[in-house]
Amino acid sequence: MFEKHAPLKTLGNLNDALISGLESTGYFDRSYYPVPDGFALATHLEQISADGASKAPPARWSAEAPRLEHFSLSDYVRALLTADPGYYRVVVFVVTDVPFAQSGAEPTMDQAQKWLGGGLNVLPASIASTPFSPNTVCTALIYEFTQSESRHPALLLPSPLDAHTHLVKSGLWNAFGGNP
Amino acid sequence: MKLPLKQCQQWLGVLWLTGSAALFALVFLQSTLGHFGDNASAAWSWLLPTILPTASLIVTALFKTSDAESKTVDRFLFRLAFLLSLFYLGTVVMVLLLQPLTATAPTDALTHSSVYLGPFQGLVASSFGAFFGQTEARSNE
Repeated sequence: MFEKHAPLKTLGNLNDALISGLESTGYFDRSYYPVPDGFALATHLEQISADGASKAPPARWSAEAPRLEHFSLSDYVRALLTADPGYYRVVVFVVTDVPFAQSGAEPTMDQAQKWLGGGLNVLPASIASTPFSPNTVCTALIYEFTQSESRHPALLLPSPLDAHTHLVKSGLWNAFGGNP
Repeated sequence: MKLPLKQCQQWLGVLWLTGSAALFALVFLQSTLGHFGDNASAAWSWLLPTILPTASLIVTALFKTSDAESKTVDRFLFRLAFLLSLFYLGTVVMVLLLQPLTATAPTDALTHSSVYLGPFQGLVASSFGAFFGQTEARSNE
């Protein structure tokens, strides 16, 4: 991945590649957090379909319960009779050459929403100038939430979709130059 | 102007039984297909007090009023009771039918509707009271 952005000499170069891919798929809001020897980039919480595809704006960026986007009789009858849970996703890219493991703590949807406002608006120059090492890895952490009737939003663990499917359906896989 | 009591009762009975059956069927389908999630009981707790008291009153009157064939009722009072019933049942149906078009959760929509359905149901019951009370008064004349 990211071959078309080569050569990646610094973490700033990789950040540029990430931004390019994110913006080409509609992710214009982001937030940066410093991590050991790298950075984490959190995207805006977005509403998705059950298959992982991003919904069309404005529903995409709304945390409200889903409603009929385009009225059709079949969609209406389905919404009238069956449950229509909302699915939400936050993608966090962690760029570092330090191996890490997830803590096991399960973030809430409220917390995930606040990631966008809690970080830095740009990648600090001190991190951007860090040389890109052969051990640097860009890991996509994907948090999927669901909000069904009578329940608070909850982290879907495990998600019915794997990370690759999420990246493909969001368009990011293609935008980053991943192999089909 | 007077109308036959029996005929008026039958019209009201058909209206309420048809409306109640439609509402019951809709909520049955919704709760069976998971529209209310784990909160199906909340939907039934909303529906039953919304329609059963008045529907029961109508059915009871339909079968228990003696000499209904020989009695008459004021046309205005019948029309008032019928139109209020029609509007009330229509409102209850619309609460269910409009919910998918809003961002409100299904059980929240039902809860919110109780604010105006409660007084409205009282108004319908009052019109029934006037309807049946006037009938008895006429039959004594």
